[in-house]
Amino acid sequence: MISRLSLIKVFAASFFMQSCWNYEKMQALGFAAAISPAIDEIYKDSDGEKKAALNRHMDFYNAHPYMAAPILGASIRLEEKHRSGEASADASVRFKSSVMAPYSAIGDGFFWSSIRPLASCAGILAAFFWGMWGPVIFLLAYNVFHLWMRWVGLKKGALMGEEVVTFVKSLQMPKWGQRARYAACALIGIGVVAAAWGAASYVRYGFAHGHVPRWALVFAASLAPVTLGLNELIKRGLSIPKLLYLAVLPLILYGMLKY
Amino acid sequence: MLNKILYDTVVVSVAGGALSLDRTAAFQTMVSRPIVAAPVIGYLLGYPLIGLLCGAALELLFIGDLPVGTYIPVHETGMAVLVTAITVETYKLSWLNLYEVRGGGVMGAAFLLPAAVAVGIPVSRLYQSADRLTRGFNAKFLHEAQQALSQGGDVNLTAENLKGAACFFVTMSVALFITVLPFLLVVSFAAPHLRYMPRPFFPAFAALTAVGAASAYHAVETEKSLVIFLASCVIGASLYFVVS
Repeated sequence: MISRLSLIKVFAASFFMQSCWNYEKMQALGFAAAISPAIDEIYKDSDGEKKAALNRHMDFYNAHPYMAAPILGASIRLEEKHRSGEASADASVRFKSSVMAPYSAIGDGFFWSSIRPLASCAGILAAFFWGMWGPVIFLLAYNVFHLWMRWVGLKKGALMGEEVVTFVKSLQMPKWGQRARYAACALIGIGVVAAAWGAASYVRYGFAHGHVPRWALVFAASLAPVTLGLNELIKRGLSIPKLLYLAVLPLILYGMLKY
Repeated sequence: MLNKILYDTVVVSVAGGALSLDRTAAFQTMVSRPIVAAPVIGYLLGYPLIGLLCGAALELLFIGDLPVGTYIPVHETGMAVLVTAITVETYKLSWLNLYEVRGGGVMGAAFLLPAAVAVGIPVSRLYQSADRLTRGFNAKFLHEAQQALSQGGDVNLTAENLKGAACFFVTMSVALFITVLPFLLVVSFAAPHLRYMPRPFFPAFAALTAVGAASAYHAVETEKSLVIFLASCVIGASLYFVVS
């Protein structure tokens, strides 16, 4: 395996894999830049082979940025095998091409669709109760999973080569993603109650100061069913911006008239 | 005052450009998300709690907008910067900042938020366009690197790669500057006329919250969502009555 220093350099460079994202080859340059510390070490005795290796890693590449870690690690292992004559020159490229689409789907489903909404809901709820701790809790809740995948995925890939697919499979990310979505849903329910509770406090404040904030009362009582009702509209194809304009603009005009 | 507006615009544009790097070009640790970016912008403008309010609302609204494949989602970082700047500056220049009782300050900003979001959504298309422009331009660095390698010359791939990140930063900062400045200039003229707590805008804020909750629910909806959602509402409400 490559030295720990080179692995750390690859790890650091992997955070910039999408820096030069473009429509032609997408993350190709970023991948080549990320793997270059390892290529420099593996082919340190042969400048020609080093350039050839970097050139073949400039092929089209697009994958989820965190799931790129096991791909990166496995590509490094396959380049080492090629150097020692155990694998062909294009083994790493073929491996990348075969796994980038399924790994993107796994990464999108787990990180973007499950962990990020869960962390967002946790952060928003924390912001409601504890103010500035909200963003901190959001970042902690999300990056625990993110940084673990980047580092462990890279190490496992560098150790196991193509067999890293068994490691990724063992994580059962679709199953845990589903559970994360359940947890996010529960947090949304608690958040709806918290918002209603906030509105109810405003109602009590209003009564104590001689005015009746009827709207706050309606809001507190109806937020949960309204949430479900609006969700039905979104499911029928109404985009969030359009729904926002339909719901909010008339009330802004109402506010301007009453002000 | 104009100098202050210009200074604030430059500060939030540069900060917004740096934060938006996290969306695509670097790290992806989610500091570009509204719940983090908006409080940062709010802090730079002197009101982090208002930034947090803006960030939480926008986070809820765009929780399910995913960067899948080549799709570029709504530029939530740009929106967070714009909405927070408009809300904070309106709050600062109006009489709302005199209502510093019982969290009245943040409440006043809450009533300004729906209008800021309403203007932010169409403007955010410009940020998406800036993103697309950068992605198109970045192919130039790819070609330069490929040409250098194929000719057998030495090429610093890291440097070529980071040029792409620099492009993302520059285009986003410029896009933020040219969009934030006109709004802040309008706010500087209009906000001093805001002399009373804008309570009539509470229904708009309530609607914004409801749409945000629906957007979040939709983002995580599965076959068991309804049961879990209703159960957590009941448990949350029971806890509220027990605690209070």
